[in-house]
Amino acid sequence: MRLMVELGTAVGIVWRCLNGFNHDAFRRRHLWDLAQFHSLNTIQYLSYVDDSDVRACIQRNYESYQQLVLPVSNLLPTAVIMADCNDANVIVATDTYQVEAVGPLRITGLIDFSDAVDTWSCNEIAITMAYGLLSSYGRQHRYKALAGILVGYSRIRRLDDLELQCLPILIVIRLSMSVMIGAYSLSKDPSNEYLKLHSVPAREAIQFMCAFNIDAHTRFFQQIQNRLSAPATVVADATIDDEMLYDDSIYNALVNQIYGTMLHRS
Amino acid sequence: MQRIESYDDANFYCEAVDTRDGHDQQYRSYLIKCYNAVETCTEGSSNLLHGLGLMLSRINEKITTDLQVPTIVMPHNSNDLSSNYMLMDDCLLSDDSRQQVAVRLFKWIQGYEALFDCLSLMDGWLLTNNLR
Repeated sequence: MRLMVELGTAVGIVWRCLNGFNHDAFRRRHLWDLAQFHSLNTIQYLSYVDDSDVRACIQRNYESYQQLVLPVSNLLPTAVIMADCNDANVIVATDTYQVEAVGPLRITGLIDFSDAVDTWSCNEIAITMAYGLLSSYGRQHRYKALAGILVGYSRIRRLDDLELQCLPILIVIRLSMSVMIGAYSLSKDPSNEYLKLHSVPAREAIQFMCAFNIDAHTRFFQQIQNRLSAPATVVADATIDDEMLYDDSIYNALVNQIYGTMLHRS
Repeated sequence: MQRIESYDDANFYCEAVDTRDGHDQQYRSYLIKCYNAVETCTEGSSNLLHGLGLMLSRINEKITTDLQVPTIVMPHNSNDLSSNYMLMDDCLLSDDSRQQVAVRLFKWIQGYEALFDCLSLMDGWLLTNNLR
């Protein structure tokens, strides 16, 4: 959980450093840009996904993207973002660089900025949360992975209401890209195991996200940000300190509150 | 040399053992980014590299925590961002063919001044298999 919070903080720090930065090279067409997903030949790529349930989830989410995100896209803040914060691009180490170092793991670096693009600012956290779901922690603790990354990020940059509404859709868009482009590439190179690295777990993550409606996810994210992210946030009349960010009971209570009836139903 | 996937560029987080000063444990960590040499030489990627260089410089200038991001290193104090790579012959691709690739160096551990001295020792670098 601590690494998830640190991960969100790391991309928040990058956002803060790049605030106001621009360069014409980043205003480019880019296959993996969430803001350009509608330019992707979705029908063609989708045909390579062999799981009909996953295909249906991707299709439904794409309709939400068209209906709820694109019409308000001009209102979303933009920035140059790294746009590829997946587990292979995060350097994790202990505090020392000794060969057999011991101690808690920390996030010490981010690498691979070659997908950097000028796009909606919230895409950075959407991408990070999407890949967070694919991490070993995220596969076991879906909600806490999402919450931890969001908490870390929004302690530096708070998302506005519109961004929070778009966030669940954008997370699934990134997962969809991974599944679709991965399936397409695998069809061209069936023996390439690397292509399965993200696309296979992404299918499960898509199904998790699509098991609940967008509004539920948005409410969860709003609650996380409002109750845990702001400096000097107060929950139940107690000032949040860092240790409370890792208190399972807070997240469990929010999950039950937001998803409770749906969880029982599923 | 690690296997280079042909479909994409790849990041290589590697450790370079430098025993020149007699300290056996004196090893440093670097990030090496390998590009397809043809891609590296296109006009479009040159502009992107320029933007990338400015982007990483900006982060490194502004950052106030110990979080690290790579820095594009200028060879021989050159300001030409398109020249900070060296060509390596016979790199193994995923289809088992071999190809010349451009290796771009990013300074990873801050403050190490002798990075380019190590270029001449490239063959002696111990590229560990710790790409995650």
